Amino acid sequence: MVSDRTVERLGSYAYRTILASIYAFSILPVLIVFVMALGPSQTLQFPPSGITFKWYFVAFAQFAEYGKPLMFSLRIAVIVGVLATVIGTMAAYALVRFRPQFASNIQGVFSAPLTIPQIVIGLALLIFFYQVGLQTGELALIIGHTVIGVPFVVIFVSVSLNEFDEALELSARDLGADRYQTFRYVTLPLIKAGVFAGALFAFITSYNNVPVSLFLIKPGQTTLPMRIFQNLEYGFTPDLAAIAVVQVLVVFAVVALVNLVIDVTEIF
Amino acid sequence: MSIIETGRQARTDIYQRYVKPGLDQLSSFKTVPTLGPGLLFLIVFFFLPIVILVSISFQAEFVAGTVSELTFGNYLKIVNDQYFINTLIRTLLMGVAVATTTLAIGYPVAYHITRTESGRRRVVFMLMIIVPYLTSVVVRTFGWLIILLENGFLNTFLRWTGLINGAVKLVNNEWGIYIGLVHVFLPIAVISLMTSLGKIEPEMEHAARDLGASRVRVVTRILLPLSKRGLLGGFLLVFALTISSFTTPSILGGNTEVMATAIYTYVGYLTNFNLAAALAMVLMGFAVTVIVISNYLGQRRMEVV
Repeated sequence: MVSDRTVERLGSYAYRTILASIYAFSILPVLIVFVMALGPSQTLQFPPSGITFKWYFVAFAQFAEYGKPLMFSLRIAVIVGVLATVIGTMAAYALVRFRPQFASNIQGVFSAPLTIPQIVIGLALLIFFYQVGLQTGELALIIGHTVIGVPFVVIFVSVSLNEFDEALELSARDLGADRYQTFRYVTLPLIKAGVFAGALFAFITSYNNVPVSLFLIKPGQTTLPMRIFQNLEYGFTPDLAAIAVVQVLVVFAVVALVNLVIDVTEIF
Repeated sequence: MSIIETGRQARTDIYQRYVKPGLDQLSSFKTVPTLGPGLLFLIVFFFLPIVILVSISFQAEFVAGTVSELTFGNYLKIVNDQYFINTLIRTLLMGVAVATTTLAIGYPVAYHITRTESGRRRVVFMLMIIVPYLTSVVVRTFGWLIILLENGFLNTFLRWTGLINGAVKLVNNEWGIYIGLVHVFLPIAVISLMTSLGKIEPEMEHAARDLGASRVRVVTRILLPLSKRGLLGGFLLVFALTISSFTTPSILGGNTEVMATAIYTYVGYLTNFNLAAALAMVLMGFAVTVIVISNYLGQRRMEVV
């Protein structure tokens, strides 16, 4: 007869083993790209026979191949982050505070781009730009990425606006602050978390995007995720792994920066 | 009711009765400049393009600026072609498989994170889930390619252990897409389950344990019933995201196509915009229906108004 204690203990070991495997599964593919970029050999060796940073130099030496797309992606993501944050914050403020007619329908409009597959949005924009005679390229990418970035800002800012008492704004107005001062010194500090969370998501959505960029880049000017995506067709090389690591580290750096202002773990 | 609450209540009442009506009169005047830019942007660059895409899917030819005769031809072509039917079925089955798997393996993780009391340890466990979530799908799929290819990490390891001689084929087929997408959407499942599991008081489990329930019984009689809504919402969300996904199936699927990759094939290589548009409509129909059901069930409704 096996005692209940033994069963419990075995169950507890099983639970921990399962948990550890799932965490390993979650982190392994990211780690392995980092490892690949550090190994000295052209092909994958495990464990690597040494540690080298030469692939980072190899990757950046091909400036047109990787450096330019990286700068291009960053520029677009920053512009999209700012644009989406400005129009998204204004819209959320109007929806929550002014409660216009059909507010819930308008709310639906602002979250709609999240429900449509991005590949469909990309295709629709390609055809639209073609019909109105706008070339694909930087402007098209900025527009496309802003469409999928705005919903995050509207959602996060709306949540923040709902979390604090409207009477605070009213008090400021009573005490003589004008509308701008109220927004700047009362509202904005209180919705800071939502605004930064929205901006962060808009930035990352743009910076990491493939399915929309796929249709909107123009020949000779591509984004970094698209370059990695295209080059993966020819198999993996260590310099491609190195630039992939750079791509990931940029996101972490931006998250760390935002974490100085707001607690990023609170977003999830 | 405390005096502070009474005061706040009175202030809210005064505001609602005397101040709000005046503000409301002014609000349409303020709404236009604040709401306008965002709304206009999405109408022009999102709704209009989608409407055009719908109209293109009902036309036989694509010539910019002109509308040719309306036809169901593209849709009939899809329905009558076994290749498209297979692709659609594969996509939907993939959605069910990926949603089920991510919830099954995400559940213990979400439970573990919500029940970890030490703040610092919880952040570490959260990071194990959030780091992949913030990493671009291309890079994560790159990682899977290194692991799953014939001369990759996993096959090398299995050969070393002597379990296999040749290679297990895990890319350029359904398995590659499945493994890659489970990884892509695991964080989504964990995050949506955490919301639901975080609401269950740990005292409830302690009470059941004290009364002699086994751990398994606690899971089946307390945790699962109380997190039913979270599970359903998570399933619908991951299903919708899976059938919509492009990048991972494109890299890990090879010639094994799903709806999203088929759309791109028809645009990129065959330049048949009309058929691609019809395929896009079919995919969009499924994704939107699922999200609408999910919203109807009250899972993701935003509490704005």
